[in-house]
Amino acid sequence: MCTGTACWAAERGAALGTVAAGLGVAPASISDDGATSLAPTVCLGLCHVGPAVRDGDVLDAGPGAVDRLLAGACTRAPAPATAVHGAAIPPDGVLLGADDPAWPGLRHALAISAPNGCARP
Amino acid sequence: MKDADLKGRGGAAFPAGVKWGFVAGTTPADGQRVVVANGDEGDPGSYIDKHLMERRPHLVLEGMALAAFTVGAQRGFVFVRSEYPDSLPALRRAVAEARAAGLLGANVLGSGLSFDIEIHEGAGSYVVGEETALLASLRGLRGTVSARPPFPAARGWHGRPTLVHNIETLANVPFIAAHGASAYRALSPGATPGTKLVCLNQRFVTPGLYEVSFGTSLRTICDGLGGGLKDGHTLKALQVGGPLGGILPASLLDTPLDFAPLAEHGCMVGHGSIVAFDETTDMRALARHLMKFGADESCGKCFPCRVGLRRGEELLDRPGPVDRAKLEALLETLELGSLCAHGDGLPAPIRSLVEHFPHELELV
Ligand SMILES: Cc1cc2nc3c(=O)[nH]c(=O)nc-3n(C[C@H](O)[C@H](O)[C@H](O)COP(=O)(O)O)c2cc1C
Ligand code: SF4
Ligand code: FES
Repeated sequence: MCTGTACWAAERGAALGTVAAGLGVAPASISDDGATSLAPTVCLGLCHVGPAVRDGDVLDAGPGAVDRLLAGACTRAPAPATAVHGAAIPPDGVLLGADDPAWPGLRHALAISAPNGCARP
Repeated sequence: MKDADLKGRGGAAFPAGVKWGFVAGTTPADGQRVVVANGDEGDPGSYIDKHLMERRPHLVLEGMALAAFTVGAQRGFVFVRSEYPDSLPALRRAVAEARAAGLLGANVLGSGLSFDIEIHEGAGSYVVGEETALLASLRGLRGTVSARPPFPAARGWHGRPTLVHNIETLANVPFIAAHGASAYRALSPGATPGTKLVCLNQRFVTPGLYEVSFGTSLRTICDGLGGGLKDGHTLKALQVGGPLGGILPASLLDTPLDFAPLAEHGCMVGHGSIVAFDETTDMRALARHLMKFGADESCGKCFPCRVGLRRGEELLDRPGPVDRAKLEALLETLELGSLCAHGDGLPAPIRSLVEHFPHELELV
Protein backbone atom coordinates (compact mmCIF):
# COMPACT_ATOMS: atom_id res chain seq x y z
CA MET A 1 0.00 0.00 0.00
CA CYS A 2 1.29 3.41 -0.87
CA THR A 3 1.53 5.77 2.09
CA GLY A 4 3.25 8.54 0.09
CA THR A 5 2.29 12.20 0.23
CA ALA A 6 0.24 12.26 -2.99
CA CYS A 7 -1.88 9.34 -1.79
CA TRP A 8 -2.06 10.92 1.65
CA ALA A 9 -3.41 14.10 0.03
CA ALA A 10 -6.08 11.96 -1.64
CA GLU A 11 -7.30 9.94 1.33
CA ARG A 12 -5.24 10.86 4.44
CA GLY A 13 -3.97 7.34 4.98
CA ALA A 14 -7.41 5.76 5.49
CA ALA A 15 -6.92 3.04 2.87
CA LEU A 16 -4.10 1.32 4.78
CA GLY A 17 -6.40 0.68 7.76
CA THR A 18 -9.14 -0.64 5.48
CA VAL A 19 -6.74 -3.05 3.81
CA ALA A 20 -5.23 -4.18 7.12
CA ALA A 21 -8.71 -4.91 8.50
CA GLY A 22 -9.83 -6.59 5.29
CA LEU A 23 -6.81 -8.87 5.09
CA GLY A 24 -6.56 -9.42 8.84
CA VAL A 25 -2.87 -8.52 8.59
CA ALA A 26 -1.35 -5.54 10.39
CA PRO A 27 0.78 -3.12 8.35
CA ALA A 28 4.42 -4.26 8.04
CA SER A 29 3.57 -7.82 9.07
CA ILE A 30 2.70 -11.21 7.64
CA SER A 31 -0.30 -13.52 8.19
CA ASP A 32 0.10 -16.55 10.48
CA ASP A 33 -0.01 -18.93 7.51
CA GLY A 34 2.72 -16.92 5.80
CA ALA A 35 0.57 -16.46 2.69
CA THR A 36 -0.11 -12.72 2.88
CA SER A 37 2.08 -9.80 3.85
CA LEU A 38 1.14 -6.14 3.99
CA ALA A 39 3.89 -3.61 3.36
CA PRO A 40 3.42 0.14 3.50
CA THR A 41 5.58 1.73 0.80
CA VAL A 42 6.50 5.26 -0.15
CA CYS A 43 5.24 5.78 -3.68
CA LEU A 44 4.22 3.48 -6.53
CA GLY A 45 4.35 6.15 -9.21
CA LEU A 46 0.57 6.24 -9.59
CA CYS A 47 0.15 9.54 -7.78
CA HIS A 48 -2.26 10.73 -10.50
CA VAL A 49 -4.87 8.18 -9.40
CA GLY A 50 -4.06 7.40 -5.73
CA PRO A 51 -4.54 5.63 -3.41
CA ALA A 52 -2.17 3.16 -5.05
CA VAL A 53 -1.79 -0.53 -4.24
CA ARG A 54 0.39 -3.33 -5.55
CA ASP A 55 -0.41 -7.03 -5.59
CA GLY A 56 2.50 -9.04 -6.94
CA ASP A 57 3.59 -7.16 -10.03
CA VAL A 58 0.22 -5.55 -10.71
CA LEU A 59 -0.12 -1.88 -9.78
CA ASP A 60 -3.68 -0.69 -9.23
CA ALA A 61 -4.99 2.65 -8.03
CA GLY A 62 -7.98 4.91 -7.67
CA PRO A 63 -11.67 4.22 -7.04
CA GLY A 64 -12.30 0.56 -6.27
CA ALA A 65 -8.60 -0.33 -5.99
CA VAL A 66 -8.87 -1.31 -2.33
CA ASP A 67 -11.91 -3.52 -3.01
CA ARG A 68 -10.17 -5.17 -5.94
CA LEU A 69 -7.07 -5.75 -3.81
CA LEU A 70 -9.12 -7.45 -1.08
CA ALA A 71 -10.90 -9.55 -3.72
CA GLY A 72 -7.54 -10.57 -5.25
CA ALA A 73 -8.64 -8.96 -8.50
CA CYS A 74 -6.30 -6.00 -9.07
CA THR A 75 -6.21 -4.53 -12.57
CA ARG A 76 -3.52 -2.33 -14.08
CA ALA A 77 -4.04 1.36 -13.29
CA PRO A 78 -4.42 3.68 -16.30
CA ALA A 79 -1.32 5.53 -17.52
CA PRO A 80 -1.28 9.27 -16.78
CA ALA A 81 -2.41 11.81 -19.37
CA THR A 82 0.51 13.58 -21.05
CA ALA A 83 0.71 16.92 -22.86
CA VAL A 84 3.27 19.43 -24.08
CA HIS A 85 2.74 23.12 -23.20
CA GLY A 86 4.70 26.11 -24.45
CA ALA A 87 5.25 27.95 -27.72
CA ALA A 88 9.02 27.37 -27.62
CA ILE A 89 8.75 23.56 -27.46
CA PRO A 90 8.19 21.34 -30.55
CA PRO A 91 4.56 20.07 -30.57
CA ASP A 92 5.57 16.50 -29.70
CA GLY A 93 7.89 17.70 -26.95
CA VAL A 94 11.51 16.82 -26.31
CA LEU A 95 10.93 14.28 -23.54
CA LEU A 96 7.37 13.12 -24.26
CA GLY A 97 6.74 12.07 -27.90
CA ALA A 98 7.60 8.72 -29.50
CA ASP A 99 10.68 6.69 -28.57
CA ASP A 100 13.27 6.43 -31.38
CA PRO A 101 15.28 3.18 -31.32
CA ALA A 102 17.65 4.53 -34.03
CA TRP A 103 19.48 6.87 -31.59
CA PRO A 104 19.94 9.77 -34.05
CA GLY A 105 21.74 11.95 -31.48
CA LEU A 106 24.43 9.31 -30.92
CA ARG A 107 24.84 8.72 -34.68
CA HIS A 108 25.29 12.45 -35.22
CA ALA A 109 27.83 12.75 -32.39
CA LEU A 110 29.82 9.78 -33.70
CA ALA A 111 29.82 11.24 -37.20
CA ILE A 112 31.26 14.60 -36.14
CA SER A 113 33.79 13.64 -33.46
CA ALA A 114 36.50 11.13 -32.61
CA PRO A 115 35.62 8.25 -30.27
CA ASN A 116 36.06 9.18 -26.62
CA GLY A 117 37.34 12.49 -27.89
CA CYS A 118 34.80 15.20 -27.17
CA ALA A 119 35.76 16.39 -23.73
CA ARG A 120 39.20 14.93 -23.19
CA PRO A 121 41.87 17.41 -22.11
CA MET B 1 27.04 20.18 -22.84
CA LYS B 2 28.56 23.14 -21.00
CA ASP B 3 26.99 25.59 -23.48
CA ALA B 4 23.62 23.88 -23.19
CA ASP B 5 23.84 24.35 -19.40
CA LEU B 6 21.71 21.29 -18.68
CA LYS B 7 21.02 21.32 -14.93
CA GLY B 8 20.70 17.95 -13.18
CA ARG B 9 17.04 17.00 -12.72
CA GLY B 10 17.62 14.70 -9.72
CA GLY B 11 17.17 17.54 -7.25
CA ALA B 12 20.45 19.37 -6.79
CA ALA B 13 20.50 21.09 -10.24
CA PHE B 14 24.26 20.63 -10.65
CA PRO B 15 25.42 21.55 -14.20
CA ALA B 16 25.79 18.28 -16.11
CA GLY B 17 28.53 19.60 -18.43
CA VAL B 18 30.73 20.45 -15.45
CA LYS B 19 30.23 16.97 -13.97
CA TRP B 20 31.12 15.39 -17.35
CA GLY B 21 34.31 17.46 -17.32
CA PHE B 22 35.24 16.10 -13.88
CA VAL B 23 34.77 12.49 -14.98
CA ALA B 24 36.52 12.98 -18.33
CA GLY B 25 39.44 14.66 -16.58
CA THR B 26 40.19 11.72 -14.27
CA THR B 27 43.06 9.30 -14.93
CA PRO B 28 41.87 5.91 -13.63
CA ALA B 29 44.65 3.32 -13.39
CA ASP B 30 42.79 0.78 -15.53
CA GLY B 31 41.22 3.38 -17.83
CA GLN B 32 37.73 2.30 -16.75
CA ARG B 33 34.93 4.78 -16.16
CA VAL B 34 31.27 4.12 -15.41
CA VAL B 35 27.93 5.82 -16.16
CA VAL B 36 25.03 5.20 -13.78
CA ALA B 37 21.44 6.23 -14.47
CA ASN B 38 19.60 6.93 -11.23
CA GLY B 39 16.12 5.43 -11.68
CA ASP B 40 15.37 5.21 -7.97
CA GLU B 41 12.73 7.98 -8.21
CA GLY B 42 11.55 7.79 -4.63
CA ASP B 43 9.90 11.21 -4.26
CA PRO B 44 6.29 10.62 -3.26
CA GLY B 45 4.22 12.38 -5.92
CA SER B 46 6.69 11.82 -8.75
CA TYR B 47 6.17 9.55 -11.77
CA ILE B 48 8.40 11.30 -14.30
CA ASP B 49 11.26 8.78 -14.47
CA LYS B 50 8.73 5.93 -14.42
CA HIS B 51 7.19 7.29 -17.61
CA LEU B 52 10.57 7.83 -19.27
CA MET B 53 11.86 4.34 -18.35
CA GLU B 54 8.66 2.66 -19.54
CA ARG B 55 7.72 4.79 -22.57
CA ARG B 56 11.04 6.30 -23.68
CA PRO B 57 13.72 3.79 -22.64
CA HIS B 58 15.71 4.37 -25.84
CA LEU B 59 15.96 8.08 -25.11
CA VAL B 60 17.44 7.32 -21.66
CA LEU B 61 19.88 4.68 -22.98
CA GLU B 62 20.93 6.94 -25.87
CA GLY B 63 21.67 9.69 -23.34
CA MET B 64 23.82 7.25 -21.37
CA ALA B 65 25.73 6.22 -24.50
CA LEU B 66 26.38 9.86 -25.40
CA ALA B 67 27.68 10.48 -21.89
CA ALA B 68 29.86 7.38 -22.06
CA PHE B 69 31.19 8.41 -25.48
CA THR B 70 32.12 11.84 -24.13
CA VAL B 71 33.69 10.93 -20.78
CA GLY B 72 35.30 7.67 -21.93
CA ALA B 73 33.19 5.13 -20.02
CA GLN B 74 32.88 1.45 -20.93
CA ARG B 75 30.16 0.26 -18.54
CA GLY B 76 26.75 1.56 -17.69
CA PHE B 77 24.06 0.67 -15.17
CA VAL B 78 20.47 1.72 -14.80
CA PHE B 79 19.40 1.44 -11.16
CA VAL B 80 15.62 0.90 -11.21
CA ARG B 81 13.52 0.96 -8.06
CA SER B 82 11.73 -2.27 -7.29
CA GLU B 83 8.43 -0.40 -6.90
CA TYR B 84 8.30 -0.08 -10.71
CA PRO B 85 7.81 -3.65 -11.96
CA ASP B 86 7.01 -2.45 -15.50
CA SER B 87 10.17 -0.34 -15.86
CA LEU B 88 12.60 -3.28 -15.72
CA PRO B 89 11.28 -5.25 -18.71
CA ALA B 90 10.89 -2.06 -20.80
CA LEU B 91 14.53 -1.14 -20.23
CA ARG B 92 15.78 -4.70 -20.74
CA ARG B 93 13.91 -4.93 -24.04
CA ALA B 94 15.40 -1.62 -25.21
CA VAL B 95 18.92 -2.76 -24.25
CA ALA B 96 18.45 -5.94 -26.29
CA GLU B 97 17.19 -3.93 -29.27
CA ALA B 98 20.13 -1.52 -29.03
CA ARG B 99 22.62 -4.41 -28.87
CA ALA B 100 21.00 -6.01 -31.92
CA ALA B 101 21.26 -2.69 -33.78
CA GLY B 102 24.97 -2.37 -32.94
CA LEU B 103 24.33 0.65 -30.70
CA LEU B 104 25.60 -1.08 -27.55
CA GLY B 105 28.42 -3.57 -27.08
CA ALA B 106 31.90 -3.74 -28.60
CA ASN B 107 32.84 -1.25 -31.31
CA VAL B 108 29.55 0.71 -31.45
CA LEU B 109 28.65 1.40 -35.11
CA GLY B 110 32.28 0.78 -36.07
CA SER B 111 33.44 3.79 -34.02
CA GLY B 112 35.93 1.97 -31.81
CA LEU B 113 33.76 2.89 -28.79
CA SER B 114 32.69 0.02 -26.56
CA PHE B 115 29.89 0.56 -24.12
CA ASP B 116 27.29 -1.73 -22.62
CA ILE B 117 24.50 -1.31 -20.09
CA GLU B 118 23.13 -3.53 -17.31
CA ILE B 119 19.71 -3.04 -15.76
CA HIS B 120 19.78 -3.42 -11.97
CA GLU B 121 16.76 -3.72 -9.67
CA GLY B 122 16.79 -1.78 -6.38
CA ALA B 123 15.46 -3.06 -3.07
CA GLY B 124 12.98 -0.47 -1.82
CA SER B 125 14.57 2.46 -0.03
CA TYR B 126 14.09 6.20 -0.45
CA VAL B 127 17.59 7.22 0.57
CA VAL B 128 19.18 4.81 -1.93
CA GLY B 129 18.31 7.54 -4.47
CA GLU B 130 21.20 9.50 -2.93
CA GLU B 131 24.19 8.81 -5.14
CA THR B 132 26.67 7.36 -2.63
CA ALA B 133 23.96 5.11 -1.15
CA LEU B 134 22.94 4.10 -4.68
CA LEU B 135 26.49 3.11 -5.59
CA ALA B 136 26.80 1.11 -2.35
CA SER B 137 23.55 -0.72 -3.11
CA LEU B 138 24.70 -1.35 -6.69
CA ARG B 139 27.77 -3.12 -5.28
CA GLY B 140 25.61 -5.28 -2.99
CA LEU B 141 26.38 -3.26 0.14
CA ARG B 142 23.90 -1.74 2.57
CA GLY B 143 22.19 1.31 1.07
CA THR B 144 23.58 3.97 3.41
CA VAL B 145 25.11 7.34 2.61
CA SER B 146 28.87 8.04 2.64
CA ALA B 147 30.55 11.39 3.22
CA ARG B 148 31.61 13.29 0.07
CA PRO B 149 34.38 13.92 -1.00
CA PRO B 150 35.34 11.68 -2.57
CA PHE B 151 32.57 12.38 -5.05
CA PRO B 152 31.44 9.55 -7.35
CA ALA B 153 32.99 11.46 -10.27
CA ALA B 154 36.39 10.75 -8.67
CA ARG B 155 35.73 7.45 -6.86
CA GLY B 156 32.44 5.71 -7.54
CA TRP B 157 31.48 2.19 -8.57
CA HIS B 158 34.30 -0.06 -7.26
CA GLY B 159 36.54 3.00 -6.95
CA ARG B 160 36.20 4.00 -10.61
CA PRO B 161 35.28 7.49 -11.78
CA THR B 162 31.50 7.32 -12.10
CA LEU B 163 29.06 9.70 -13.73
CA VAL B 164 25.74 9.50 -11.87
CA HIS B 165 22.75 11.17 -13.46
CA ASN B 166 19.05 11.26 -12.97
CA ILE B 167 16.95 9.55 -15.69
CA GLU B 168 15.35 12.79 -16.87
CA THR B 169 18.75 14.54 -17.07
CA LEU B 170 20.00 11.79 -19.40
CA ALA B 171 16.84 11.97 -21.51
CA ASN B 172 17.72 15.60 -22.35
CA VAL B 173 21.11 14.69 -23.84
CA PRO B 174 20.06 13.25 -27.26
CA PHE B 175 18.27 16.50 -28.18
CA ILE B 176 21.40 18.50 -27.30
CA ALA B 177 23.58 16.14 -29.37
CA ALA B 178 21.27 16.27 -32.38
CA HIS B 179 20.27 19.95 -32.37
CA GLY B 180 22.97 21.80 -30.45
CA ALA B 181 23.18 24.00 -27.38
CA SER B 182 21.44 27.08 -28.74
CA ALA B 183 18.38 25.12 -29.90
CA TYR B 184 18.29 23.58 -26.43
CA ARG B 185 18.50 26.92 -24.66
CA ALA B 186 15.72 28.29 -26.89
CA LEU B 187 13.26 25.77 -25.40
CA SER B 188 12.89 28.02 -22.34
CA PRO B 189 13.44 31.65 -23.42
CA GLY B 190 14.95 33.78 -20.66
CA ALA B 191 14.92 30.95 -18.14
CA THR B 192 16.83 27.77 -17.23
CA PRO B 193 17.60 25.93 -20.51
CA GLY B 194 15.63 22.92 -21.75
CA THR B 195 12.19 21.67 -20.85
CA LYS B 196 10.89 20.27 -17.58
CA LEU B 197 8.50 17.44 -16.96
CA VAL B 198 6.11 18.11 -14.10
CA CYS B 199 3.55 15.70 -12.72
CA LEU B 200 0.34 16.49 -10.88
CA ASN B 201 -1.37 14.46 -8.17
CA GLN B 202 -4.84 12.97 -7.94
CA ARG B 203 -6.44 16.12 -6.47
CA PHE B 204 -6.42 17.86 -9.87
CA VAL B 205 -9.22 17.68 -12.44
CA THR B 206 -6.71 16.54 -15.10
CA PRO B 207 -3.72 15.14 -13.27
CA GLY B 208 -0.92 14.01 -15.55
CA LEU B 209 2.55 14.48 -16.87
CA TYR B 210 3.24 17.78 -18.62
CA GLU B 211 6.30 18.99 -20.51
CA VAL B 212 6.72 22.75 -20.02
CA SER B 213 9.29 25.50 -20.48
CA PHE B 214 11.08 26.68 -17.37
CA GLY B 215 9.54 29.95 -16.24
CA THR B 216 5.94 28.77 -16.80
CA SER B 217 3.89 29.96 -13.84
CA LEU B 218 2.56 27.44 -11.37
CA ARG B 219 -0.87 28.96 -11.97
CA THR B 220 -0.69 28.01 -15.65
CA ILE B 221 0.40 24.51 -14.66
CA CYS B 222 -2.16 24.00 -11.90
CA ASP B 223 -5.20 25.81 -13.31
CA GLY B 224 -4.49 25.64 -17.05
CA LEU B 225 -3.03 22.16 -17.44
CA GLY B 226 -4.32 20.59 -14.23
CA GLY B 227 -7.77 22.22 -14.55
CA GLY B 228 -7.77 23.22 -10.86
CA LEU B 229 -8.90 20.86 -8.12
CA LYS B 230 -11.67 18.32 -8.58
CA ASP B 231 -15.10 18.09 -6.94
CA GLY B 232 -15.27 21.84 -6.26
CA HIS B 233 -12.32 21.80 -3.87
CA THR B 234 -10.00 24.78 -3.62
CA LEU B 235 -6.23 24.79 -3.39
CA LYS B 236 -4.69 25.39 0.02
CA ALA B 237 -1.01 24.75 -0.76
CA LEU B 238 1.38 22.88 -3.05
CA GLN B 239 4.46 20.86 -2.33
CA VAL B 240 6.78 21.21 -5.32
CA GLY B 241 9.79 19.02 -5.99
CA GLY B 242 9.39 16.17 -3.53
CA PRO B 243 9.44 15.63 0.24
CA LEU B 244 12.51 17.84 0.72
CA GLY B 245 10.84 20.75 -1.10
CA GLY B 246 9.12 23.66 0.61
CA ILE B 247 5.36 24.17 0.64
CA LEU B 248 3.90 27.06 -1.33
CA PRO B 249 0.58 28.54 -0.14
CA ALA B 250 -2.08 29.07 -2.82
CA SER B 251 -1.55 32.86 -2.54
CA LEU B 252 1.87 32.44 -4.24
CA LEU B 253 0.58 30.49 -7.26
CA ASP B 254 1.92 33.09 -9.70
CA THR B 255 5.49 32.01 -8.90
CA PRO B 256 7.30 30.77 -12.05
CA LEU B 257 8.56 27.20 -12.15
CA ASP B 258 12.30 27.85 -12.02
CA PHE B 259 15.12 27.52 -9.55
CA ALA B 260 15.62 31.13 -8.40
CA PRO B 261 11.96 32.23 -8.06
CA LEU B 262 11.01 29.11 -6.10
CA ALA B 263 14.08 29.45 -3.85
CA GLU B 264 12.85 32.95 -2.90
CA HIS B 265 9.91 31.25 -1.19
CA GLY B 266 11.94 28.46 0.41
CA CYS B 267 10.87 26.03 -2.33
CA MET B 268 12.63 24.16 -5.12
CA VAL B 269 12.05 22.66 -8.56
CA GLY B 270 13.46 19.39 -7.20
CA HIS B 271 12.49 16.53 -9.44
CA GLY B 272 9.28 18.23 -10.62
CA SER B 273 6.44 16.65 -8.69
CA ILE B 274 3.55 18.93 -7.78
CA VAL B 275 1.34 17.72 -4.94
CA ALA B 276 -1.76 19.79 -4.22
CA PHE B 277 -3.47 19.91 -0.83
CA ASP B 278 -7.09 21.02 -0.76
CA GLU B 279 -8.83 23.30 1.74
CA THR B 280 -9.76 20.39 4.03
CA THR B 281 -6.10 19.49 4.72
CA ASP B 282 -4.97 19.71 8.34
CA MET B 283 -1.47 21.22 8.10
CA ARG B 284 -0.41 19.82 11.49
CA ALA B 285 -1.27 16.36 10.19
CA LEU B 286 0.71 17.12 7.02
CA ALA B 287 3.76 18.18 9.07
CA ARG B 288 3.48 14.94 11.08
CA HIS B 289 3.11 12.90 7.88
CA LEU B 290 6.28 14.44 6.41
CA MET B 291 8.31 13.95 9.61
CA LYS B 292 7.14 10.34 9.84
CA PHE B 293 8.16 9.78 6.22
CA GLY B 294 11.58 11.27 6.99
CA ALA B 295 12.07 9.21 10.14
CA ASP B 296 10.91 5.97 8.50
CA GLU B 297 13.22 6.44 5.53
CA SER B 298 16.33 7.76 7.34
CA CYS B 299 19.30 5.55 6.46
CA GLY B 300 20.55 5.85 10.06
CA LYS B 301 24.11 6.79 9.21
CA CYS B 302 24.17 10.08 11.12
CA PHE B 303 22.38 10.79 14.40
CA PRO B 304 20.89 14.26 13.74
CA CYS B 305 18.66 12.68 11.10
CA ARG B 306 18.24 9.22 12.64
CA VAL B 307 17.21 10.57 16.04
CA GLY B 308 16.09 14.08 15.14
CA LEU B 309 13.39 13.19 12.62
CA ARG B 310 11.82 10.70 15.05
CA ARG B 311 11.86 13.37 17.80
CA GLY B 312 10.25 15.75 15.31
CA GLU B 313 7.49 13.27 14.58
CA GLU B 314 6.87 12.82 18.32
CA LEU B 315 6.81 16.57 18.89
CA LEU B 316 4.04 16.95 16.32
CA ASP B 317 2.22 13.74 17.25
CA ARG B 318 1.66 14.64 20.89
CA PRO B 319 -1.75 16.37 21.16
CA GLY B 320 -1.76 20.05 22.12
CA PRO B 321 0.49 23.01 21.41
CA VAL B 322 3.98 22.67 19.95
CA ASP B 323 6.90 24.52 21.52
CA ARG B 324 8.09 26.71 18.64
CA ALA B 325 11.61 27.27 20.02
CA LYS B 326 12.11 23.55 20.49
CA LEU B 327 10.86 22.76 16.98
CA GLU B 328 13.09 25.43 15.44
CA ALA B 329 16.14 24.22 17.38
CA LEU B 330 15.46 20.73 16.07
CA LEU B 331 15.14 21.98 12.48
CA GLU B 332 18.40 23.89 12.81
CA THR B 333 20.18 20.82 14.17
CA LEU B 334 18.92 18.79 11.21
CA GLU B 335 20.05 21.46 8.75
CA LEU B 336 23.51 21.90 10.26
CA GLY B 337 24.33 18.38 11.35
CA SER B 338 22.97 15.99 8.74
CA LEU B 339 25.32 14.14 6.43
CA CYS B 340 23.04 14.29 3.37
CA ALA B 341 20.12 16.23 1.93
CA HIS B 342 17.58 13.85 3.48
CA GLY B 343 18.11 15.16 7.01
CA ASP B 344 19.04 18.66 5.97
CA GLY B 345 16.20 18.97 3.43
CA LEU B 346 13.25 17.75 5.47
CA PRO B 347 13.13 20.93 7.55
CA ALA B 348 12.25 22.93 4.38
CA PRO B 349 8.56 21.93 4.16
CA ILE B 350 8.23 22.16 7.95
CA ARG B 351 9.66 25.70 7.87
CA SER B 352 7.12 26.60 5.16
CA LEU B 353 4.30 25.33 7.36
CA VAL B 354 5.69 27.26 10.35
CA GLU B 355 5.80 30.41 8.22
CA HIS B 356 2.45 30.14 6.46
CA PHE B 357 0.28 28.09 8.85
CA PRO B 358 1.58 28.76 12.41
CA HIS B 359 -1.89 28.60 13.99
CA GLU B 360 -2.68 25.23 12.46
CA LEU B 361 0.59 23.89 13.81
CA GLU B 362 -0.46 25.22 17.26
CA LEU B 363 2.93 26.82 17.81
CA VAL B 364 3.47 28.57 21.12
C1 LIG C 1 17.68 11.48 0.15
C2 LIG C 1 18.03 11.67 -1.29
C3 LIG C 1 17.29 11.01 -2.26
C4 LIG C 1 17.59 11.17 -3.60
N1 LIG C 1 16.83 10.50 -4.51
C5 LIG C 1 17.11 10.64 -5.83
C6 LIG C 1 16.35 9.93 -6.80
O1 LIG C 1 15.42 9.19 -6.48
N2 LIG C 1 16.66 10.10 -8.12
C7 LIG C 1 17.69 10.92 -8.51
O2 LIG C 1 17.96 11.02 -9.69
N3 LIG C 1 18.42 11.60 -7.61
C8 LIG C 1 18.16 11.47 -6.29
N4 LIG C 1 18.94 12.14 -5.38
C9 LIG C 1 20.05 12.99 -5.88
C10 LIG C 1 21.30 12.15 -6.17
O3 LIG C 1 22.10 12.10 -5.00
C11 LIG C 1 22.15 12.77 -7.28
O4 LIG C 1 22.39 14.11 -6.95
C12 LIG C 1 21.51 12.73 -8.65
O5 LIG C 1 21.15 11.43 -9.02
C13 LIG C 1 22.49 13.29 -9.67
O6 LIG C 1 21.88 13.36 -10.92
P1 LIG C 1 21.66 14.74 -11.70
O7 LIG C 1 22.98 15.49 -11.64
O8 LIG C 1 21.33 14.30 -13.07
O9 LIG C 1 20.58 15.47 -11.01
C14 LIG C 1 18.66 12.01 -4.01
C15 LIG C 1 19.40 12.68 -3.03
C16 LIG C 1 19.09 12.52 -1.70
C17 LIG C 1 19.91 13.25 -0.69
S1 SF4 D 1 20.94 12.68 6.80
FE1 SF4 D 1 19.67 10.82 7.23
S2 SF4 D 1 19.59 9.76 5.27
FE2 SF4 D 1 21.32 11.22 5.14
S3 SF4 D 1 23.14 10.11 5.88
FE3 SF4 D 1 22.26 11.04 7.69
S4 SF4 D 1 20.90 9.41 8.52
FE4 SF4 D 1 21.32 8.86 6.40
S1 FES E 1 2.40 8.90 -3.53
FE1 FES E 1 1.15 7.11 -3.74
S2 FES E 1 1.59 6.44 -5.75
FE2 FES E 1 2.88 8.18 -5.53
